[in-house]
Parts: sequence; structure tokens; C-alpha cells
Amino acid sequence: MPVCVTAGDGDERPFSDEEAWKAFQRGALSVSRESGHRQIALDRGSVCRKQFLFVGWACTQNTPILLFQIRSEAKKDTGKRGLCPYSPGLCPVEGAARRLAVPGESKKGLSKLLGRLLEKLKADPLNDGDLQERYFAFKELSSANDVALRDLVGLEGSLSEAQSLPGCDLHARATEFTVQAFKSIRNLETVAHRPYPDLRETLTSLTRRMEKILLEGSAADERDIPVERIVGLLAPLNLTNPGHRSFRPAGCRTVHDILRFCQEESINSMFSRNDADAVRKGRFFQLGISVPLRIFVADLGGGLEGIEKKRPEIDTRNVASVPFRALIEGMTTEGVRWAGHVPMGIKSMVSVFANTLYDPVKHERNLGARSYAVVSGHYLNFSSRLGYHFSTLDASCGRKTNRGYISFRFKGGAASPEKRFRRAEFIARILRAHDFWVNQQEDLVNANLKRSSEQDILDRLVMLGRLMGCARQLDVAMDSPQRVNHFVDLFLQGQYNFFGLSSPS
Amino acid sequence: MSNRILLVDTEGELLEALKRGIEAVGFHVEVAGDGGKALELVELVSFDVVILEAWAPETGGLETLARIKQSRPETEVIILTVCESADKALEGMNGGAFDYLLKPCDSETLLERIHRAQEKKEMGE
Repeated sequence: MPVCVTAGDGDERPFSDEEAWKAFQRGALSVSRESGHRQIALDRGSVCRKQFLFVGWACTQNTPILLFQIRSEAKKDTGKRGLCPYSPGLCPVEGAARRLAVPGESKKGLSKLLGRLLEKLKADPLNDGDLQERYFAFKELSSANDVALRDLVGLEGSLSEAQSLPGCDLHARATEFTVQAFKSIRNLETVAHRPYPDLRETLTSLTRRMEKILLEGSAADERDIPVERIVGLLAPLNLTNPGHRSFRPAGCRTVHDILRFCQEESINSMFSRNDADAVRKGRFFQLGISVPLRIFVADLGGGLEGIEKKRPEIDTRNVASVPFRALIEGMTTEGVRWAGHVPMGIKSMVSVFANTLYDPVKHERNLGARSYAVVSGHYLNFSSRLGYHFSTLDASCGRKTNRGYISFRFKGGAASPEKRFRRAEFIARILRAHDFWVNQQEDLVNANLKRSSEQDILDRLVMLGRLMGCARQLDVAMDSPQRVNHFVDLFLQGQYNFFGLSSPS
Repeated sequence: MSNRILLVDTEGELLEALKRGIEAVGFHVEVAGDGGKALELVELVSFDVVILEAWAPETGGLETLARIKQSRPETEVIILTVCESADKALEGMNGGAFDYLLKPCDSETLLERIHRAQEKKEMGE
């Protein structure tokens, strides 16, 4: 039996207090929020951090349902946003104990039951509102990583061009980089639901060392600042293999390590763990789609429709999210080849095999590994670990003029480094041709498109769906730089079937 | 969303320039030249975002940040400052700031951070 939270229809109460109370005593815990007019996902995560729990009851569709309402301690103006501050059958916890005529129950008994309810909600780590909060943190973390990497590229670029950097400029860049690392840790803590004191400590320690070096430098002469020592605390990446035992907070020796750890850990926390549990609880749905991806979809609100209760699978007709529909349209474009054999020479085969052996994590990231879409009506975050590469896409196509954005990241591959570089180059060139800001470093591509109209965003998401399919195993076919030109030309001409093979199967 | 922003800084010209820039994209902007005035305004009005120069003595620095968060935990604070110290930046972030930006900051970055802070605030409501 569901527990419902009303958005203000507490007056609608044809059931007696006693009936409602019995429903509560039977342990109704599955939560939705219903006002009688519309159904809204309840911010259950808020239960953990907000102070007040309001209880009451109402009815929907002839079912006696217990209601409760949660509000922030600080939110004094509770009449806002459609939440009724007080109505018959909807009142604060202590007030409820005083007001409700609950047969056979004392105030103490009521408080006890409410406590149990709260504990159960806290114990459920994958509730809807919690997912929303964690997803915001995940987005923020990805964004902090993007900004930090861009800063790092800029810093390294300036140093290699000028071989020196004014002390103040270096100081500012180091601080900005540090701030992004702090944001990453803070957001990781939200995503993973636990503190990371070791990471915080390492960042503080690195910051102090950096400040000391800068202070000594500026006290002497700006030109004497040992830039390489500062950069040495920021830039080197030691945590390269997430499968290695050193890949943990204590293994972070630079700010870049912290950023890398936060990124990997957040992905694991957000997606890889508790998948079965999430599906069982109805938080994620497996999407049936005509491409060889196992896509799990979580809805933040308005992203899915026509869902059958207790059925963990959905198909593309259930997708209401506008950006996700556009991406699916691209992925399933006729001619885009997701499955099948890619022609490669003996050397390529050896390279793929050797590379897979070298990285102990890669066997887990096999073809058809899980992909995750978190959607709302106008928002999409899509993380895909397909084959030996990883891609993330974050997009919003709000109706407000020119507020849409896409952030896209692609990394990895199974072929040799130079072939992976060529595939990254292929992707980067396609994205640039579609007005993205693009940064490519070896096999890593970071791309952004900002302040675009809804239609522009949707057009590019269709293109990205095609690109993800076309690029999937392209690294092994990138024998020469000419191949990059060839594939870019084909893609831009709208010919997606690069090898003349079958369309999606 | 109320679209209300409070700017707290001592530099008059900068305040005016920022105010104009932020208002141009549809926000209602109030300004305060010191921490006391900022706290008075925060008590009266529920701002989405406060943009605070936390290292000018007149603005009350981290004390003002703490009191804003105490009085209005749902309001997000972005520190916009000339202080380049990474130590200080971490102090500000540990004090509950949503973000820490260095002056000069381009308007696109500032507006993007304001929108993100608003999104976070809205989610918490």
C-alpha cells in the first residue's frame, strides 16, 4: 500500500481517522506524492536532511492512504510551492499526536511509529528524491572535472609556450583547480552517501604545500617561483588504473589524482552498485532497444510514461524525455552499425588482445556492459560503458530560450594508443563541425555546447546518437590518418554505414 | 524561483556593472556594500543566490557567509573575490559556499554558476 504525500488536498477525507491510522499501522511505506490532480515523485532523500515530518491522511481512488509531508526546518514560508502549511488531517508530528483521535495509541506510540517510518526511509538509499539530489551532485562533479581538466590543459599549454608564467597567474589557476577538486569531493560525498575524510585531508595538505611554495617564491622574486613544484602537486596523474589496489583515497598524491578518484568513485556509486536492487525496487527500468546496449533508465520526473507497475522492462515508446528520444532517434538511425565485425588487420587484433590483458578492468567493461540514462522531461544524462570505452553525455533542452546545453565526454578504446587517438580525432572533428567547443587529449575528448535553442540541442543529440554508434569500434579500423579523413567525410555526408554492413540488429 | 540575487561587495563600480549584467538576463538584483546591510536584506528577503566578496573587511567575510547560511540555509552563496589563496578558497568552501570564483570573472561563467546554484536551491525546496 502506498504512503502518499499530499500537495495540499488534505481536506479530501472521506475515510475516518481510524481507517487511515490502520493503514499506517499496516506499514505502508512505498512513497508517491499525490494531490488528486497530479502525481509527483516525493523528495524522499530530503527526509534525511530535513528536520520536520508532517503527517496526515487523505484518500485517492477510494483507497485509504496515510499521508505525510516533509518540510525544511528553515523553510518558514511553507505556504509556497503548493504545500499546504496546515489543513485538517495534515499537521506537524507533535500536533498530530495531539490532534488525532487514534484509538488505542498513545502519543509515545505514534512517535515510535513515525520514527520507524523515518528510519526505513533513511535506510533506502535509492529513493526518488534521493536520486535527484545525488544526480545533481553527480552532474556538478562531472562539471567540476571538466572545468579542472580545461584549466589543466590551459596551464600546461601556457607553460609549454612561455616556459614560465607570472606568479599571480599561476596562483589563480592553482586555486581554481583546487576549488574544483574540493567541489568534486563534496559532490562525491553526496553521491556516495558517505564522507571521504582522507580525500579532504590530502587536498588540504596539498593546498598548504602549494601555498607555502608560492609564498616563499613571492617573498623572494616572482621569477623564482618553482613552477614545476607547483605543477607537480597539481597535474601528474598517478591513479590510472581503477582496478589497482592503489586506486583509493590514500593513493592520491596530486590534485589531479583526487579529481580522477572522485570521477571513478562517483560513477561506481551512482550506477554500478545495487543495480539489481534498483531494478527490483522499480527505480531503474531496463530499456528494450534495437542496439546492443543494456540501458537502464531512471526517471527524475516526466521522463518516462505509461509504465506498467512491477514490470522492470520498458521500450522506447515509454520514453517521454525529449532529449533522450532525440538520442534514441540517432542511435537507431538506419545504417548506423552498432553490432558486427569491424575489418581489422592481424596487428590490430594483437593490439586489442594485448591491451585487454593489460588492463584488468577491461574484462568487466565488455561489449554490452551496462549503460545508464537518468532522465526528466527535458533533461538527459547518459553514461555508457560500451566495449572498451566510456562516454558520458549530459544534456538539457529547457524551453527557455538559449538555455540548453550538451556536455559530452568520450575516452578509451581497445586498440593501440595511436588508433585510439585517431578515433578521438574523428569524434572531435565531427563535434567541431557541429559547433561544439572541443578539447582532445590523446584518446580523451571533452566537448561542450552551451546556450543553444531547444531545436539545436535536439538536432545535435540525434547526431550524437549516430556518432556513438559509428565510433563504437572504429578505433581498430584507424590504420592511418587518411582513414580519419575518410570517415569524417562519410559521416558528414550522412553515410553512417562505414563498412557496408548491416544496420542495427 | 524568485530570481532574486544579492550582491555584497565594497567596490561600487563593480557592483553596478555586475548588477546591470545580471539584471539584463532577468534577475532582480539587490546590492549591499557591507556585511551588516547584507544580513538585514537576507532577513527580509529570500534570495536565490548571494554573491559575496568574502575577503573584504567591510563585508564581514566568512562570518557573513556563516550567518547567511544559518539564517537561510536554502540560499546558495557564491564567493566572488580577488583573494587568490587556495587556503582561503577551501575555508570559504568548507564554510558552505556553493562556489568560489576569482575576479575578474567573465559574465558567462558567473551566470552559469548562478543558474546552477538556483537549480540546487530549487531542488532542495
